[in-house]
Amino acid sequence: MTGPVTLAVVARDASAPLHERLLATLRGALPRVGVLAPGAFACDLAGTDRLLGAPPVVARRILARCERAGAFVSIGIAPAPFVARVLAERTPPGELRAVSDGQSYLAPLSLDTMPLEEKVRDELALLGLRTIGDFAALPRAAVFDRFGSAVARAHALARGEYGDLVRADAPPRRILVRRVWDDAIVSREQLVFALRGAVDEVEALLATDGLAALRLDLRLVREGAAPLRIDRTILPPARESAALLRSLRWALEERDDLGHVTGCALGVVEAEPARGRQIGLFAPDGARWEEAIATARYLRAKLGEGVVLRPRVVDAEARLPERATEWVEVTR
Amino acid sequence: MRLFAEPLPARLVWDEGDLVGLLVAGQRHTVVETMRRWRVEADWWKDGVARDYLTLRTADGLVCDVYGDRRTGAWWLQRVMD
Amino acid sequence: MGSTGLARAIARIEGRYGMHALARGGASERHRDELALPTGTSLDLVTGGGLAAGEPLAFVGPASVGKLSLAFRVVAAAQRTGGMVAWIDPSASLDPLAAVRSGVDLERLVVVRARSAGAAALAASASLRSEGFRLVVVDTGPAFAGIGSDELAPVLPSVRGSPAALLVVSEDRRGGYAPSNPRLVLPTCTFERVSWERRFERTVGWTFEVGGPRGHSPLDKRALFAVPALGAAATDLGRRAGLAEAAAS
Repeated sequence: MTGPVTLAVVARDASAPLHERLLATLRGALPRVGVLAPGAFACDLAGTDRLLGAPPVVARRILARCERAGAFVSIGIAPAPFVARVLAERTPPGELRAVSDGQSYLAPLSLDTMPLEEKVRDELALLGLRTIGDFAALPRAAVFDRFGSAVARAHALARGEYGDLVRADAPPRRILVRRVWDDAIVSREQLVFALRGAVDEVEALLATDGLAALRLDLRLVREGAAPLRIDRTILPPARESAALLRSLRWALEERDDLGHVTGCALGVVEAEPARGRQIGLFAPDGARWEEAIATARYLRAKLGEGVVLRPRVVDAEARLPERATEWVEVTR
Repeated sequence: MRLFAEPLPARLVWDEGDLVGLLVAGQRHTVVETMRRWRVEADWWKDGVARDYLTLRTADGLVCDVYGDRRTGAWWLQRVMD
Repeated sequence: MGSTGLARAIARIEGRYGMHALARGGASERHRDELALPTGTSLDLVTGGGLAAGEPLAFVGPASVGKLSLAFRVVAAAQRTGGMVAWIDPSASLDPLAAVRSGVDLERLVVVRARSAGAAALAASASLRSEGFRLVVVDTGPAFAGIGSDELAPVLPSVRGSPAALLVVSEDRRGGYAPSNPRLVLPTCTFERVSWERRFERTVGWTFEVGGPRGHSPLDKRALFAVPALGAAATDLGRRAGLAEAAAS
């Protein structure tokens, strides 16, 4: 199988300790392991043929290792993570199955397999659509117009599309980049420009490990002055150098005098698995909701309590206008 | 419609029984019409809330609800249509 | 390259540069539609199809004309596609019932009562930089209790490239002090009252019109709305030109 390949591993009814053991086993054997759910994993095998062998060979090795770790897992191999997962869930424990055409495989399956809201499923049923194939056959534009982008993304899944980024939970690795400048930098704009190279390097290291930075530590070495340390939280966590540089620039703008800077050390203090927008394919609006809530929490930390709120109507007929609604802090 | 979480202190200006002006946040608005008036009483079994509400239209196009607290005599701007 | 290989390449590019970085051939028209927030009212004719991600727009007009009523419609439009909306509210005057009447889903709304201009700018920027919101609204508030829209200039760099649109609602301080060199220059929809609606010698409502970004909206192309009763949501009367044609025929 050439092109993108995902190997999905499913252990039914996995306890928390077993989940951890399986995760460790998979991480020990494969470069990119993502967690889908308790006992369910998606491993990106793209480009590993030469190093590890053909996917079915890799899969048999994984079956054996998992058995030694105490679990009979099911393995599905497919071009797209969603297809691989569905396949694994329908494969008996201790066995593996592979498909090369995701759309054909999904077509006869029931719509219950798709991540769709119940009311969308009901509406599709009213239209006489019951299988994934029925759903996939709808024109993309019509699905988008009628149901919106969340269902349109599920529609793409049904067609076996979207290679998808795998959610990685790689072990933390120290990311630290240094720079030294012969001529001292005295202006903020110059410093931001000079930091670009270091930030690009950090982005590349984060990308290799499938991570996004949550906290940066920037240490500026200065002539005739103590080093300046800047601790920056990045919310939501980001990997793109533009976002990281923007955050550092704002931090530098908060300081009046940067002095004469001759070098820097930029480190990632905290990171978490990177989540591309594509992760929304598994939980359609989950990623955006989480990022909105993360931003709300950040603003609450910055601006205090009683500032970031969500209203709820409690009595639409209230005669005193202020009693019609209650306001609650946004925490989730 | 705006509903102020904290109503703004307001003063009404009367001229021979007619409401002619509204003072809010240091600005005076000429009142050209009292569009509605009503009374709200609530929680009568406790301390009680008693308010006289007016919807006013001003010369500069502001349409707003003010209320007079019948217990304290103070007036407050609570809502602005928009 | 097979279709899955192409899909993967697209996914990789979108992950790097943002969703819809690539217009898919003949689908580029729909691509703009996917990014826009149409309200389904005549306002869309004035805004060119709705607010767009990564772009700012201002609603400017006198007090009590109807800016918020239409702003709520834009919020509802953003939420219809599943999006979350951040509403920055320095004057702490968002009326949830009025919002609901205009179709807003309170579950998908985050209200930030950032009282100072600096806090409001911070909240707006953070919301735009986040990938969690589809629309960020800054309601600068009434003239007597709000912030100046000029104070939002620091927010602009965060707009471009954001998956969210930015809507600034601001009162037109006509007749009052207007800075000769405003720092904030935004595409603006101007709101103007057309007439008061009177019944039995009492004012019960009014009509207003909305013109597009300056210089683009001759009188007959403006959108007309009516507020039929106090506290009611604005209703769409169509385009001024459309009404004139209907009256003539």
